[in-house]
Amino acid sequence: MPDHAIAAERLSAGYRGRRLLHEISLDVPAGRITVLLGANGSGKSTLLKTLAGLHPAQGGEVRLGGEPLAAVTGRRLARRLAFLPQQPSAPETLTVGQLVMMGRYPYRRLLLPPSPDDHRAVAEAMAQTQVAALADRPLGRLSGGQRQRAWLAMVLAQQAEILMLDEPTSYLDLSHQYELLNLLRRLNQDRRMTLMIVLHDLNQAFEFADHLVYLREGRLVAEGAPAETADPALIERVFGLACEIRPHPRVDCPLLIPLAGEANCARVREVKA
Amino acid sequence: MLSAGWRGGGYLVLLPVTLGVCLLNGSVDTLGLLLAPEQRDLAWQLIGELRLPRVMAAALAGAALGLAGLLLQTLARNPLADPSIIGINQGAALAVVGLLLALPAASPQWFPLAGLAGGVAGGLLLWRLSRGTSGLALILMGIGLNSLLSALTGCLLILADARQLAMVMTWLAGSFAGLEAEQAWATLAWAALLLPLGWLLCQRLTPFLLDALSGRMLEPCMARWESAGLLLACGLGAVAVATAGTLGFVGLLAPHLARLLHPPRPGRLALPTMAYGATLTLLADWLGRSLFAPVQLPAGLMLALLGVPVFVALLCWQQRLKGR
Repeated sequence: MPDHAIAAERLSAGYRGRRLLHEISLDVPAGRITVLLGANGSGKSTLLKTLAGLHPAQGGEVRLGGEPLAAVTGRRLARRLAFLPQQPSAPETLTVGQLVMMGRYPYRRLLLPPSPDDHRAVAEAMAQTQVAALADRPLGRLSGGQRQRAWLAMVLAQQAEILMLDEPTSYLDLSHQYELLNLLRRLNQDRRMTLMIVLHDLNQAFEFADHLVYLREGRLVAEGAPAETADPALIERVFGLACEIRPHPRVDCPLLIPLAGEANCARVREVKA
Repeated sequence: MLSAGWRGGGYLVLLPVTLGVCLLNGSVDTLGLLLAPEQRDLAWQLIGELRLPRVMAAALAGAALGLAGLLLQTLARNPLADPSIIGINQGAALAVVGLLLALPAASPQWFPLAGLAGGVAGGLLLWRLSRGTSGLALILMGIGLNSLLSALTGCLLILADARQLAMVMTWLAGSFAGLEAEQAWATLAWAALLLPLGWLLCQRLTPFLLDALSGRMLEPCMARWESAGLLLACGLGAVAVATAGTLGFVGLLAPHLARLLHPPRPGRLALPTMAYGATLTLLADWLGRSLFAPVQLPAGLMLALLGVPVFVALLCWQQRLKGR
């Protein structure tokens, strides 16, 4: 097996008359956490969807473990690659257990009840995401954090080796964001899953990612490990954000201190004067 | 647990009871005839020749409309969808009124055929227009198409003469009164083909419960199932139209009733939805023919009179459940 789980070669995508991705070439390392970074509208979500086959490519190629993505047809794709969109939705009356069982859809046979394998995968996914106790509760009666974990259990039940998550933290408060990221890190270690995550918080990206991909206006600007790529000039170029990078006092990763606040700008002017 | 099981299986009791009542009761009290030994043959004749075709047709048309509604609501991901929204009812109405104006001598026997053609044409037109768009666009386009078709029908109705108008109005209101036995058998044949197909298709539509991205990830061939579902809903709606004219509201109400008592997966909803659709239509037809006998009120009108209060109560109850 190649050491990249998914690779793009001169990949372009977009809508008619408007190109959102320009010739992106990228290797996503297998068994690692790759985080996509970029400002709003930089093409992170489009790149993720195009890599998952949910958005048509206009040029170039996506390869899934050495095989062209277009050749991985039908339910075989869903067994190898799972995708959690930014705003997943399901009927409020659906229970957590029923939702997680839907992750087994690519394995189910028409009209047959779930197999022992299906039940095992569902139980395992619910145990790992700590929603087993909520199995009979309808989705409408879950908190935001519980709901996100239920959805995570659904995509885990697919037992795919690659998991893509589009801004999974955006509707959670800070402590639930870290709870989810810790859970993803554990899944990556226990199951050796390849994770691709779109995140907005750079410090969370520095702490949890093995590999960072920086996008700006649909083009790949840089990629590499957090320690190699955390550079104020790059951050300025990608996000238009003035910042300072220091070593994290407690964790072995860079720490970003934004310097874009008005109070700071005023002080800089004072010092210069 | 017991109460949940009872609620889930309730339709298995409800439908046979309704069928029995509709077969045995009507403008003539057949139960009394059956109990008197010398009149038993007459009673059986009455039931077998007069009531059975009508009751069977009403049950099947109701089941077909309910299933069509379930398919459309699932595919459009919107609980508003219903066979009268995808242009079937209005297309059928326009075709019948058009036939009457073009050939004033045409007998009412040709209504179902014209209705079928018009209904399928309306459904196919909407399907073609809305390919590749979202569920909401389908519904908005359907509402637009419906308004256009009913305006055209209204224009044509003004041109029709009074005697024909009465005939057309009964048909438009949806009635089983003038049903011929051959027509009922034709309904049975079509329903025997389309209802099982619809049930099978529903087993495949589970991913439509989720948002479009999650659904497509689980089932990459969703567009194919969507087309199949729309065509099948079209066919089911047309069967009902050909049997009884335009019956509204069953397609909207039956899936909602089923969802109240059953898990929301379409595969599990299909049977209860058919049963509720059949029960509602049977009740509407039975009340329509017995309340003011010998005058027969069209089942379609009774459905609206009965169904709207039930529907409003249902919505209020759902809101209250959510508020808790």
